[in-house]
Amino acid sequence: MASLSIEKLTKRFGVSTAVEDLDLSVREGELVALLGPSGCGKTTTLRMVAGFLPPSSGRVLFDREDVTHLPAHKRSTGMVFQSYALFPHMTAAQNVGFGLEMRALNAAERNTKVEEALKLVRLSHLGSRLPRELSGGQQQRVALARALVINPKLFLLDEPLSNLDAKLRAEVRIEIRALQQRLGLTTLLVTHDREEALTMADRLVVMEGGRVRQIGSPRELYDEPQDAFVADFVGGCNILSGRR
Amino acid sequence: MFVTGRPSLGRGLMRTSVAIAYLIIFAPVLMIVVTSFFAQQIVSFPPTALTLHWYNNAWQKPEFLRGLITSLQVALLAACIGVPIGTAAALAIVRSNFPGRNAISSLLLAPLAVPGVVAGSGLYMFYVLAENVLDRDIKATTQGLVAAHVLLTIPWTVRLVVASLQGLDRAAEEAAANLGANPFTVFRRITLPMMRPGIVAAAMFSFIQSFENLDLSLLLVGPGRITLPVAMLNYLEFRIDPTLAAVATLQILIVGTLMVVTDRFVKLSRVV
Repeated sequence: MASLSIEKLTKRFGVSTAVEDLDLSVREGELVALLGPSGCGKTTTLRMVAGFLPPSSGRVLFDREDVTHLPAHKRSTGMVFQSYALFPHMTAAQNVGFGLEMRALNAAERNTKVEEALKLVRLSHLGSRLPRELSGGQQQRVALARALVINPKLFLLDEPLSNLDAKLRAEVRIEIRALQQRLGLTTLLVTHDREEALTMADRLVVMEGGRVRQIGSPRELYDEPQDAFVADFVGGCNILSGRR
Repeated sequence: MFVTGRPSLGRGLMRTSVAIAYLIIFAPVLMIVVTSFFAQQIVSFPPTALTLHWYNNAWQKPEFLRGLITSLQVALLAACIGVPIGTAAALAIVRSNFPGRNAISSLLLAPLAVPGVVAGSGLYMFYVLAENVLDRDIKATTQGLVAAHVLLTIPWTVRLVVASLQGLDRAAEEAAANLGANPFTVFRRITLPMMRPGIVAAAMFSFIQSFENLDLSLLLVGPGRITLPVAMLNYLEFRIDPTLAAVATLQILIVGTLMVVTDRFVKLSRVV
């Protein structure tokens, strides 16, 4: 696992600015959540970290190594997509094994690792199923196993729970957090669900309009919000206006 | 979906209209198959007797067997050439953003809008010109005919493959890149297999378009290289008897089998 540093990261699309001057560092083994309403730039940030989008300016570093201009396939991050993005024509086991194949592992090593990964997400018995033959929750676990099996430098989660029903969401939340802590995964989580962010993250980054509003632990943000936006978004509290 | 108070009435109407639609579609096809077994030479109801004579007769005529072989060859070649071209064009149209993209997209669909006879005459004149310049035979050659039929296959391929590309989840490609696949591997291992239903359907429709084409081919066939539909038209100029119905029945059988077989690999209702 690596640490992540983001320095003055900016992304402009034409005249609009999606992310502006973002500074953030994630320690090894830490889970940081990017939280904010849709359009706040959190997904854009994640996509720049994964290498799917070139930043307009600024730098992305893994373990102090500059990867800003490294293409996605050379970054070795493990990402779980909102839609899971499983390969529809491959079985669950083939999906999980794909990243290992790209790393030129031989079939025997691959099989062992795929089995381990499927066991980790409790899907050992369903390895031969196609994605469409799995439930939403099972597909999500295949996506988790696929991202983890390659031993990524960073674990990236893009709204991983938004397609699950409420009951399952609460369970998986705890499950992913436990897995992350047990394996010591450096994780960046994107979410618009404050409950998800508060229960899972070591630290939260509250974003709005492409800018960071506040960074801190759940406790700090909840008890000492910096402004009305953070208070409202994180706390769900009553806001009284007044004058000094 | 019916939201009326009497769902049974709605369902009844629905079933009736579906039955009528099927009847309209299948009646002519059924008539051809039925008349191919009629014994009398001039088709009239009721049949005096039923016979397989016309099938035997069709088999005896070398022009039909030769026509069938030529048609199969041309259709296979046209599909093999047109589908890769159309697929590449579809990829360019959907995936890249170059100036004139829309113009090219309409241009590729244009052969559908031009009547076959017009396109055929145009090609004929073009081939004559090209022959003068290049000093080699083009019209009345298999190559010339295949080239013309490739024009028929491209619009179908572009349409079907564009549709399958637009429905494709780009996140799967990003996931593959994320797992370490370079762009070429992503295309080979993820994009292409996900496009497969569209490509298979395109190959089938291309084959059928070429196999059944009469109007475009009319001016471009040459002696000894006459396609089956043209051979049938030639026969019809001198005789009217159920031999043609017998040949047509075989044609229907070939196309029908092709569709059923394709459907086993790709559910056609999902792509078309």
